[in-house]
Amino acid sequence: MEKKKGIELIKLEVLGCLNEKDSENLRMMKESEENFPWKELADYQNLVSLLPSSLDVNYPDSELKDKTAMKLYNIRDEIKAKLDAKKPKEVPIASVVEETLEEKPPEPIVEEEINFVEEEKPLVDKVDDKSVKDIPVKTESEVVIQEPENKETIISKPGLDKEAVEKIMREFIKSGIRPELEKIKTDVKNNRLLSIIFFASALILILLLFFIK
Amino acid sequence: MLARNKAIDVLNRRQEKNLPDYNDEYEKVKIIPKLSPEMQAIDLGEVAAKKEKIEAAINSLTDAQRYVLELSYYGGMQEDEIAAKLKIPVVTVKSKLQVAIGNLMQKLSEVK
Repeated sequence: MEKKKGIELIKLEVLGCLNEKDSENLRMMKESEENFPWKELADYQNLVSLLPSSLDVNYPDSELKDKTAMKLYNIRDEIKAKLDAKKPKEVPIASVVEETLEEKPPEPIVEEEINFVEEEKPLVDKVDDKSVKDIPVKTESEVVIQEPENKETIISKPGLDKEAVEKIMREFIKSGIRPELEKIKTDVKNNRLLSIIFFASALILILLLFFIK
Repeated sequence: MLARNKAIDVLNRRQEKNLPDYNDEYEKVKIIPKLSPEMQAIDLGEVAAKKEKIEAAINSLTDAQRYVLELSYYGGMQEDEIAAKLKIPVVTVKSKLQVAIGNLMQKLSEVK
């Protein structure tokens, strides 16, 4: 009897047409009954899942396809954008490390030294044999002693640039902006005085008119 | 069944029916079908082979049975909604659905 009732409920459940009360009853039956008709449930579920196969398939328009594709692309772009937005928070650590690594300066200077020496060689090659004899020969140590002068100039260049810029800015502020600020201040003072005078004269005029009347 | 449940839910929400919020719990209860542990998967070839038999079985139903079945399965209507639409008692709707699905099962098993 219970099995028959169970099957009746199963028929409605597989169609998705079971009310809350019957649905609860069926759930209780599934949980409590050992002889619940699971096989019948499986058969009816299979049957219902086969029902749509009798329908003729209508393929969507190409416009709908395009719209769907566009939606998918948009979703992909949104996800990408979100991921990109998350990345910058992690990047500074790496960039800071890179910056600290970049602050070790001497290597480029060595390269320039080498260039300096290499650039001088061809000049020596062009000189005639006679003149070469006349020129006092410099030892390697003497040549090396001259290098630090070049080194200093090369090293100090970026530092000088910064200082120079700062100096120029200070001078510009001193010479250009400060006098203008002072001018503005004096103008404001003058304007204040003028406004007070105008206000007082207006008051006097009003009082005069009042007394005349 | 999952696709059907989901499609019905989408249609109901489009029609602004008074439905609870769509969340994990709702999906678990209303959308994901509770399949029998004894259910065996059907492959597409089998479905294609049974197509004509299913059509024949559906055509063998009375108009009333087919209509009630369509309202329930494709329309996603509950028994009380069908009863209100057809102006018949809920019990009648229930029995019609039960008879319809029972007949379908019988026809398909006969064809086997």
